[in-house]
Amino acid sequence: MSIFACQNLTKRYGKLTALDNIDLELESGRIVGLLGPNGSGKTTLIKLANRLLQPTSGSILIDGKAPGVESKKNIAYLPDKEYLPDWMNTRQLMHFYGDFYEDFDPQRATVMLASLDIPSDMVLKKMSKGTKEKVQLILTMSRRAKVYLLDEPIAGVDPAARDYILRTIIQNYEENSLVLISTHLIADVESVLDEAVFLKQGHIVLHKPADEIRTETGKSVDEYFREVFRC
Amino acid sequence: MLGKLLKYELKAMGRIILPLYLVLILASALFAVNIKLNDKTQSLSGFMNIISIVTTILFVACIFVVVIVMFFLVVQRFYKNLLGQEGYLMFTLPASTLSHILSKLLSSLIWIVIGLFAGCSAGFLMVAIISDMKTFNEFISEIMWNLDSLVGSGSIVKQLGMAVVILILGIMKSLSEIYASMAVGHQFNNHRGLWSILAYIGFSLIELGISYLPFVKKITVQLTEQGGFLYNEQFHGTFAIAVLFSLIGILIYGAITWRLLDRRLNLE
Repeated sequence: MSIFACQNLTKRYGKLTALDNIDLELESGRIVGLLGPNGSGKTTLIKLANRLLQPTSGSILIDGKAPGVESKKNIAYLPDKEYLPDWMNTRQLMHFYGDFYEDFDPQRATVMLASLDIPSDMVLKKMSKGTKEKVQLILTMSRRAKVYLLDEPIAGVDPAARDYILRTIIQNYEENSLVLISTHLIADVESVLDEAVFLKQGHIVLHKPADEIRTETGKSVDEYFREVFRC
Repeated sequence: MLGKLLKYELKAMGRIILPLYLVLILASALFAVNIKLNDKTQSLSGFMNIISIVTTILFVACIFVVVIVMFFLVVQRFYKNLLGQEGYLMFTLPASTLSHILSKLLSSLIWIVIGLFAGCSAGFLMVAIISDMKTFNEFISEIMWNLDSLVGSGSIVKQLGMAVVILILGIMKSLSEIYASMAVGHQFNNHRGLWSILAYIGFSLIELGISYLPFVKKITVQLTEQGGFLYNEQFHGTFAIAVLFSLIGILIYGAITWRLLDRRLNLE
């Protein structure tokens, strides 16, 4: 059974169809790039998996369960927003994550936060945008989850921060888990991807191992993406 | 999960409202000391006059600030923490939508009740400072006597208990109405604050309209005249109506909020 499975999944916002009858199965132990331009339906798919949205029709299952309280125990989600309460400091946030997630590893978070020299009593409000994003990532990747859903983790950060983020993901994800990274910055993530899913206007136009794409097309995933999505 | 959510919610509200409650009690003590000094010295010096004005302003301002901040906190904690960007954190926790709503409702209720205690404490503190203790004891006895004669039967604890139940249910209904209004406003993509206010006005008008419906009026009159289904006195009949209407309000507003947050969440 796939850890992440969508069947005839459709999501409409009024007259706009964000996802149109998609079928997708993803397995554990893979790093998958959910690739597509803005408005292609990447965030909608991730929100559906987190039950932040309800599908118009079709189904989505995480480890065999429909999105809900049980599935949320297994999903480590990084939204593309500043979503943490800004009055909390990192120590309080670690307690918060530890209280709500049984799979949270405070040791791992402490080591990563210490490497960034962030004082444990500094509230989020006083941190720079880049530091806040790193704290969010650290808390997400400090969970020993079955599924990591990372929505645009490298958008809007400088190249050095991108390296840090990708390194943190690679060094900390659970090897038997699924990591789904949504992005339109293919070149930066290409080296870490096992598979790529191309999403175009709510349709999956390609789902293949990254190596297969390179072998079949003679191009990098990034080059092939640019070809498929040429305006 | 409700316990954990409630713990964080109480902490989030308490860090702002608790210091204000302490300032309110302090301000009431200063105000009372000032009145006591004014009583003793008939003619005030210029300095004492200024102190007198400052303590009075501080005391009155404190009351207004506490009420306004409490209202702001009730709205802000629900709007920012559930419907704003923090909603991405909260709604992906392994907790049900009902737990989220209850944690907000109970936390606000607890802090409002603590606020009422703080207000009463400030009042008693003022009386204790202004009068000497003998007069204070007389004051308490007088309150008890007045309450006793007001409600008549002598079972003052029971009457006060019913008043407290009505008060708590009334607060819960008001909070539920505010939450439901925000949940409705959240369904729109723009001007969500404005739509929330309009939803609140709409709910209030519907409530008003329902209270004028002939069959509701008939029930109200019957319950009052016949003594209600709980007791056989006029006060008890009114109590039964108030409890019933508050419970219905809490259930309806709660159901609206739950339905919209659980099935039609619309985070930006």
